[in-house]
Amino acid sequence: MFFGESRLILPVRPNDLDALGHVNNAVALEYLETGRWDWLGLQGLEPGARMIAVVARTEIDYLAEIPRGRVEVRTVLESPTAEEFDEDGLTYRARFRQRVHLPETDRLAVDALVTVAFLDAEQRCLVPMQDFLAAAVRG
Amino acid sequence: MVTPGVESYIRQKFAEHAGLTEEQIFVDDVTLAVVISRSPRMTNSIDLMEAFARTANALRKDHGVRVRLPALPLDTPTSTVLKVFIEEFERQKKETAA
Repeated sequence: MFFGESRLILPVRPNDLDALGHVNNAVALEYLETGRWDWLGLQGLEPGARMIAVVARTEIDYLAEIPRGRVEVRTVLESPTAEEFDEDGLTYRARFRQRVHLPETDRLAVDALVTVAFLDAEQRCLVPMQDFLAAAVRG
Repeated sequence: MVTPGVESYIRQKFAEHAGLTEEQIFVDDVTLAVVISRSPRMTNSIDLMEAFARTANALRKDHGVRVRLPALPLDTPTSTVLKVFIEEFERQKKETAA
């Protein structure tokens, strides 16, 4: 398992901006999702079709305006920690600490804690993270 | 025959992970939905499953038996959950010993 932080630079698209000329709050959630895909990619994993990850809860603080330019999305698995994660155990919930920075100033613009659960898309039921990882395709 | 001490171990560990007392969970035989609403650590059924998983992980470490609960509807009373947990524990214990 990879427990380090992933860092992804994204361009702010013109259509990400709202009437005030800054990134719309809902778009920040898309940046966070892209950050989690990047984190997963660093695991060398690509989710299979049957076991999927879904967002169960998002706690988010918007701390600064995001103007046109670039953002850096930093993603780290906060729970389970490397010490807590047991490949032979059961874990139904993963929590990602995600932050969106403005790379030019290194200013923190968004701070979020995103809870993710894992589903068997065929059975429509919760599955442990260990099943999700086992079913994911290793790239 | 139920392994002595396992029922109280499960009660204690589940209450610990739910952030509630054993009385709040087991005395009135409330449903899982009520457990979620009472728990300061639970928002939804994912948090509930995590509490079950942590209880099962502790059982494996302390008693050497791997238990995996089936999906239970939220209107399931806690007495039924406890019964299923213990039955699974005893079944897995037998299989491990065989």
